[in-house]
Amino acid sequence: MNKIVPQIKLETYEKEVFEIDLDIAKKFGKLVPVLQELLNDDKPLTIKTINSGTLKKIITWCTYHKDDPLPPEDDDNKMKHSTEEVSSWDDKFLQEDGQAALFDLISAAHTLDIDGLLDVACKVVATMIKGKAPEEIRKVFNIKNDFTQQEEDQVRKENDWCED
Amino acid sequence: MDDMPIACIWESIPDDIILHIFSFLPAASLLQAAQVCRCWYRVSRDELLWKDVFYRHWKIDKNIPMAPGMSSWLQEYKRLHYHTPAVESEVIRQHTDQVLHVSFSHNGKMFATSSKDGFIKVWNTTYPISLKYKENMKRFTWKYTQFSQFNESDTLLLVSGVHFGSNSTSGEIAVFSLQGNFELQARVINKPYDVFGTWYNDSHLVSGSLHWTGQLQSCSVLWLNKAFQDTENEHESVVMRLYKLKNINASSVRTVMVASCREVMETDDKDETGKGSKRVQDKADRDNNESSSKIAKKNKEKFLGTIEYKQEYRDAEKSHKKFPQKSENSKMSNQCSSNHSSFSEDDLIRQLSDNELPNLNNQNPTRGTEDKDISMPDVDKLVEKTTKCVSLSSETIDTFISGNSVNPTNGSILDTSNRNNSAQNSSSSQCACGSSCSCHGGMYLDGATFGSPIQSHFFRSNDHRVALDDWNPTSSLHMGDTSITYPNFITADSTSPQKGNILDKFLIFTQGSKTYTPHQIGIKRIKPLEKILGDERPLLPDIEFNSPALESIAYDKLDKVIDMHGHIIGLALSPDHRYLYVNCRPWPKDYDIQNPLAPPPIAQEIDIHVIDLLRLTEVGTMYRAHKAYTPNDECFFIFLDVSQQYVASGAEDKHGYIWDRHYGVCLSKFRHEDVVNCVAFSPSDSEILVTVSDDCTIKIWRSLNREKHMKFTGLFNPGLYM
Repeated sequence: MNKIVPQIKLETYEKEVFEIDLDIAKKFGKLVPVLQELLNDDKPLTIKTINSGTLKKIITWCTYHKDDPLPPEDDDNKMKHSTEEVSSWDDKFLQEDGQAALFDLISAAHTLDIDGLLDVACKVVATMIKGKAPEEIRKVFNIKNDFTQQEEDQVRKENDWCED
Repeated sequence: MDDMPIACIWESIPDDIILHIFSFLPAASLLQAAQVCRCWYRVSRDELLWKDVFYRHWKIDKNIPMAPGMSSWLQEYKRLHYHTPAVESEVIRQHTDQVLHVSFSHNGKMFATSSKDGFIKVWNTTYPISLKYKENMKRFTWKYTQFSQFNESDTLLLVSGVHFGSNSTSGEIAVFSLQGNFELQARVINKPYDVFGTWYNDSHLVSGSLHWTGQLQSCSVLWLNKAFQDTENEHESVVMRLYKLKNINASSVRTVMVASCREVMETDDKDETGKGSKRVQDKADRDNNESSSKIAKKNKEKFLGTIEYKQEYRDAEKSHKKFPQKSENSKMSNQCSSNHSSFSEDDLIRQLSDNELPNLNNQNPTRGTEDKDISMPDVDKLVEKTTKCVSLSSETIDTFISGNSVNPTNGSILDTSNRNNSAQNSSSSQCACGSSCSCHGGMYLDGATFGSPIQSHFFRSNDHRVALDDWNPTSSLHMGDTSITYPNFITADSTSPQKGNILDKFLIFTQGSKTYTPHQIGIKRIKPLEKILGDERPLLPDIEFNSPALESIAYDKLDKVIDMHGHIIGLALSPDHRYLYVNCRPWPKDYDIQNPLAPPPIAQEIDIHVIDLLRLTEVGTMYRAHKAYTPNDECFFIFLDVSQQYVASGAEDKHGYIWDRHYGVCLSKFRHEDVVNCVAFSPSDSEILVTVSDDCTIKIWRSLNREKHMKFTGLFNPGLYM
């Protein structure tokens, strides 16, 4: 007899329902306190801020990383953790669908409180910022320069003390 | 959502996600990101963000809090990165041999370099560096110059050197005027030469002498010398014996320094010293007990090369915060610290009475001393006629005797000088004798200047100095029209805010007890000179060194001896004289010394130890900070320097180093082609550091901040930034 894997149900922005293995769902920090409730409940939990494509990616990411050790708690290891390189699998996985998808993923990881995914996705964005001048950064992320000329001069002066 | 423009996505992303992204950026990228838009700018100022970047980048132990008096992590990062010396700004190649030492004037306007090429050179600090004075000390039979120190008012420069001779351990101290044309003011024998010598106050300096009393035993005497003879006090002696110290196991007193005692920070009330001291003692004891448990030892390996402070140092930092120290003079009171309650004023008075041996004033000084000296068996009188300079063999007893008639024209000379006197110090006294005024013990006349060595005021032997209190103003006739202003230390001190409450000083030096290499710090507390010189009594015992009278003087006892269990190669005081930083190459743990002539092997790594002079205990150690390779049987020094916020040192691995005193981490390395012998911070601008090296160069290191501004303006004016 096949062992039945306990699952929970989530409904996305597009009203699509996903059935997620409990092992994977445990990675969603936000859901941990209500997991038991969700297991007993046949009705899916609706999360309107997440679209189907993003949730699919999250499930794929969590499945790939399900055997990873828990993120370190103490400060010193956290420090080390934060400077670790992004693995090539993660890098490719997070960037393959373009910037918009990456930001959706970050948003969702933030909403669902998935530490590992949030960290690695933010690192990928940080890498895109590193070594670029302000104007280049604006271009890459399509950000509007909302400084007045005077402010811009002031801010440039204030931040002109550290080069790579 | 897929078709939403990207810009909208950014607008929908909350600050804490941007903060999270920023937390993976190094400082340089953060500063670029801050310039992207208002939102990013706002997020980039987050202090917790900078706290993380700060600890991560500088690899600082997270248990160490922010430096006292500071309020922003961003600014702390900027301070360590942008406002510390880091850029090789100027290279000076005007010494032709290894440069051994560099010292700054207190006002930061000059620095002096000593070199194996025999020169002492004084430089103007304004950019670009320019030569102000130079003197070839080889003409005084020096082998080379090794050390210099400016007096408090930056009017005199003490220069210490090594005498010629293949195995010479003898040296000499010369004093030059920094007003006018760098005239020689005084010369004093100094033995062994690595006593170096130091200013005691603005007008007096400390020198050493050594006298063997047995196979492995000797006697070091520390002397207080007047750096010039002023005409107003012409009958005042210029030399006195400070302390007589016993050396055992072939060791000797070296590297003498003088530190001002500090007030007891913990006592706000004006209770009597004894009571206050007791309290500090109790507190120190308590801290000692606490500290051992509190210090996080677990990170020792991880934070190698950083200073580990004991808890009491951290506590002391907090009290610094409460008592911001600008000028120690204005803050100090006479309630000096006190772990040595054994020392009382009575002890001092007793010592002084001991000094008052048959005095000079009651006899004809010349005849008396001359006779005695000549009768000494090992007198070695050597006159170097070629240089017309009386020079004395320093290995043995040095003597120089000369005529000493008092010339009544004294008064008129003084008048002349007074006219030339600058108004800066109305109470100053005059030295009217110019370069010939080698006015004190052990001095040789500068015959090169004066033609013949006829004007000498004293004579002295190496182990026994006698001042002949007569002043020969005829020498003034030769001096040209330069007049020199010397602040009078007594007047200066007594007009300070703490009137009548002049502080004690610590005499600090290295010594040994187990072997000849210096492995201990000896500390002796000195009463203010005013109390020593209080009345008219003569300063010198008119006796020979070996006479029963001097022999009967007991050796002085030290107030504190701190064993470093290693070879001490450099000492430096913090600007407030609260802490003593020690460069030390450790011996193997638990090494037992059997033979004093065979010191233990020493490590290549140099540890920096931090000693609290208020409590006279060691409060921190930086392990394996930098490197040295010289074997332990050679005499060598790697000098370090301490500014308000930083400590820097030379090293033998061709680099100088700078560490933050509070966080204990290395901030920069200063590259040379050979051993870096000495480093010095500009006292007026800790963004400027000078390093000197065996590669014969002097390098000026400036902060990124200073460099950037110099590039913009094309010139450098330190006044603009102070």
